Amino acid sequence: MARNDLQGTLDLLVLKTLAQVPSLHGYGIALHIQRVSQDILQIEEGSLYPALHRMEGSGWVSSAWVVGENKRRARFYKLTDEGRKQLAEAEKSWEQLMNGVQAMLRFA
Amino acid sequence: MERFRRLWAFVNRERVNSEIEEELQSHLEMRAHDHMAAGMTREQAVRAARLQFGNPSALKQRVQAADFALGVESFLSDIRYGVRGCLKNVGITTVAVLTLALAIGVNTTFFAAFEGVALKPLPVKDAGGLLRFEQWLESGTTGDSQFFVSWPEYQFYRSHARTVSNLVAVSRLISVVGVPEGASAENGLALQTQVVSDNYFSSLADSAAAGRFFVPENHETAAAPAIVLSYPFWQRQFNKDRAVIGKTLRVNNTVFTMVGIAPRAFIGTGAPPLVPDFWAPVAMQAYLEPGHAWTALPNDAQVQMLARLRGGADRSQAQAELLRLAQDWGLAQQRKDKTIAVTLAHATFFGETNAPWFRGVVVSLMVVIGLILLIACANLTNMLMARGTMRRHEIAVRRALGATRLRLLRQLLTESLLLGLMGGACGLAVSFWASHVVQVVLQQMVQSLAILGGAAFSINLTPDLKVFVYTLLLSVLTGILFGLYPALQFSKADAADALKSEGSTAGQHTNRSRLRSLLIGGQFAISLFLLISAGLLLQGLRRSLTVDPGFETRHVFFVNLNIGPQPSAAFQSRIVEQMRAMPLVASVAVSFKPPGTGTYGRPAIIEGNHGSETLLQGGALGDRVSPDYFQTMQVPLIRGRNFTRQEAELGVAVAVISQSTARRFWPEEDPLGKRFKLGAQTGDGWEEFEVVGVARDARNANLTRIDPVFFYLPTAPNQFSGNTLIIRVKADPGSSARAVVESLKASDPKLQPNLVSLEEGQLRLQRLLVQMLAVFAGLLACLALPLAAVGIYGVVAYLVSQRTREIGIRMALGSTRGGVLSLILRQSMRPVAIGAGLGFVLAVTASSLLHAFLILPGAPDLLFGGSFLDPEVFAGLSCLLASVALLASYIPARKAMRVEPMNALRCD
Repeated sequence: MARNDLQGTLDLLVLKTLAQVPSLHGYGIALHIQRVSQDILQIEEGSLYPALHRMEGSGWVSSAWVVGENKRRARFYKLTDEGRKQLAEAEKSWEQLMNGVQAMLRFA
Repeated sequence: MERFRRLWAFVNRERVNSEIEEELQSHLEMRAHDHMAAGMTREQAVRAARLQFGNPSALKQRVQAADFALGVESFLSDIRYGVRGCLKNVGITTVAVLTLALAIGVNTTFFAAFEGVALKPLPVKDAGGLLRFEQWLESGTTGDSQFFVSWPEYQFYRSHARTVSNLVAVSRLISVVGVPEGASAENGLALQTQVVSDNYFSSLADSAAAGRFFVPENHETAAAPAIVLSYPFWQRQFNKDRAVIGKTLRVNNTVFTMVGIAPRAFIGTGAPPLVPDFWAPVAMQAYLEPGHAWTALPNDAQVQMLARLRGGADRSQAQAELLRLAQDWGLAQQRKDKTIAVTLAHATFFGETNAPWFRGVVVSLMVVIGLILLIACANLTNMLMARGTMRRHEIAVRRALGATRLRLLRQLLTESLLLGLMGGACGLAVSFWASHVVQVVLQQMVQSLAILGGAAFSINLTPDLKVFVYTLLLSVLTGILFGLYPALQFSKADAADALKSEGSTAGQHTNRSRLRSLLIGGQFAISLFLLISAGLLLQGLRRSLTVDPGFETRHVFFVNLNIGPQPSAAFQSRIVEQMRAMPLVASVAVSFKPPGTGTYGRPAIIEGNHGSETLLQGGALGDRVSPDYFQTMQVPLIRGRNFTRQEAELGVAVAVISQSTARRFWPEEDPLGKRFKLGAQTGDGWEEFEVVGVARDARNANLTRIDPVFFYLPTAPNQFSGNTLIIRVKADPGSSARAVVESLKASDPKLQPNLVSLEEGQLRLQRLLVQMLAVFAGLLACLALPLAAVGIYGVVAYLVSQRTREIGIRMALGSTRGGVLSLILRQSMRPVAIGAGLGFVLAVTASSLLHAFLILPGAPDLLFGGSFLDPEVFAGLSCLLASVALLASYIPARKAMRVEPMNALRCD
């Protein structure tokens, strides 16, 4: 059965982002999702950071403090191997969910 | 790594919180920065970012919660999951916990014993800081001479040492006869005492249990002789009556006042911990040991020293200073043997814990006992492997639902850690009981030894905090040891694969079954090794009970007259003649090292017929004896003659040798008139002796074996100073010995005679050691065998249950029940056979190594002359082990025979 909860969707988006851009801070992740989805998906900080910490705890992402261009320290996240596997599974599950929903919508 | 970070986070919450804050802050600033780039003013930008962000402290809390949940909650859920896992399989859990309880219990008990002996400080005031003086000599001499110094030497250290304070001195145990006030002289008590320096009690004990300790006057003069009683003696003799304080005890015609009782816990500072009956000031030494006043002799090492570091000094400074002082003293006394090092070790119950032999014994015992734990771990690994395979499905499902490998690994390890801790807790209970038993047995054994004069032996093996910590560490280590491999294996399990095959069928997981075979093989190797060692030692024990030492033991007594070091020759002659004249005494002899009192050996050269000379490997053992010795000890001369009295008095170079020696030196030749050389007593030369007689073989050096080479040289018949005086009585040993003591006392009131039976003294000690060793090995083997049996039972049972379908197919295709049985047994017996083979080789090797030691003439033969490769023991115990293994695998294998082909094929 495919997972279709919202938390799972956020995880999928974050994991996918980190697969596309190897290393990003939280703000960067939020911007990336917003930009790529052409402002359709707005990520709430209130969900993003707890999710990032939870995913780090599960070993899907790892983090490191990096000093950026403007000499400010920021926490950058990276996808782990474990996270890559999780992403593949989440993508598959998402596709199944979409197929299921599509089938429902097309049923006449 | 993540786990560590969480753990770190848990202890360092402050830091984590500030990190979260910083992360959120950087987010806000980046957004504000972007807003500014888009044209806002700084104030506007910050405000907009804030608005978008929402309540930062609420968000911070949510992030914290996410962090926290992963740390603690998942840990709790691991434990819940583990407990559930254990409860689901009560049978397996029980077996596992019991197995561990035994194995950990044995290890903990050993550690408690080791701790009690080597680590626990003496129960004295501020024990942690108390150090025992030990010196290391150039000659490499070890033992007593490392700990004892003369009284003048002690005073020298005390007045010169700047780095230590409270330097105290205490003598060896001195045997005396004490007559309590009001008792008659005939009712004297055989007592043990120690003389101590003036600061002994003030430095080591808080206050007396009753009365007081010594006052300065007691130490300065012999005018007011005072003694302090030990608590056990007070209890035993006076029934803890406080009225004894102020009463007197007469020793050697000196009347001592009992001024106080030492505290109950105070057991003195002896190593080994023998508690004297009372203590006396060193000023009274000459009165306690009349004729042997040693307090003025600078080279008579009689006291050992204990000290504390003076404030500001560290141990290495103190050791360096004492070494310098020891060397100064040695120089001043013109000592030949130079002190090359001084160590100050924490004062424990036994002194020689630094000695290489002690460490060797401890390490080898630890290895053997560790083997038991290893067997137990192998069993549990096997069990977990078997159970894990059944749980593959469950694990695969969890895996598919998104549990990471790490998380599964953690859960599986938590489970085995839980098992380990439960086993450890039960093991601790086992060891509480066991160490109590060991303590009681040890105490009784030592106290029953007549040679120690019945001094109370104090040892405390009750497990303490160190033992708890040790057990805890052991339990955790054990849990990881047996749980890690299965956990790694099963957390790896590929979800899809496991779900597809739904449990396993024939012929898969070859690497896993290979591991099981390896574990089973290892178990049987260890078990057979322990079993054979125990078997050989028990053979030795059996022989030790019936062994004929080759001389009389029951009627023979060693006489200790407790007189000074230099009695005159005339006095000695008079005593010997007097004893010889007693009607109860059959014979009186003098010997330098009679059986059980140590060995006397010299390098030897055998002279052949044509002037050829052969150096004897390992040297020869011997004794210097008076001509009456053979008659006294009832050692018959087989050939030739005894020494004449004249030869004995003049010390002529003639010798009597044992039968074995004759056979070994001059096989198939007449030994009489042959000659051999012994290394000179002093210097490098050789002394030549002529053989005049051959005595029957005996076990002089060691009850465990007939001396391979033993010579008797003559010594003067009446001079017993420096030697041992031996008598043989005619009638009942007990009453005769008492009569001899009485008549000696009657003849000279200064004498304090003390008779020790050869049978009850030395020989008993030697037998006891062999018994202890054999019982110990037997116990270990008794533990190892059932553990190995349970191990193979579990594996075969699992094997059968896994191969039900295969067996069904085989039977459907026409295999007979016998065929199936032999298939299962063949497969399960292969690792057993290999393991047993290995154990066999191990046992042969160990036994041969032990046997090789016998080349040293003094080395004990723990098997009492039994064969080191005793075919009965080796073959018999191998068969026993094989039948246990067969039986253990037959029971589950029988199930395979009953498989109904149709049911089996349907079962998946």
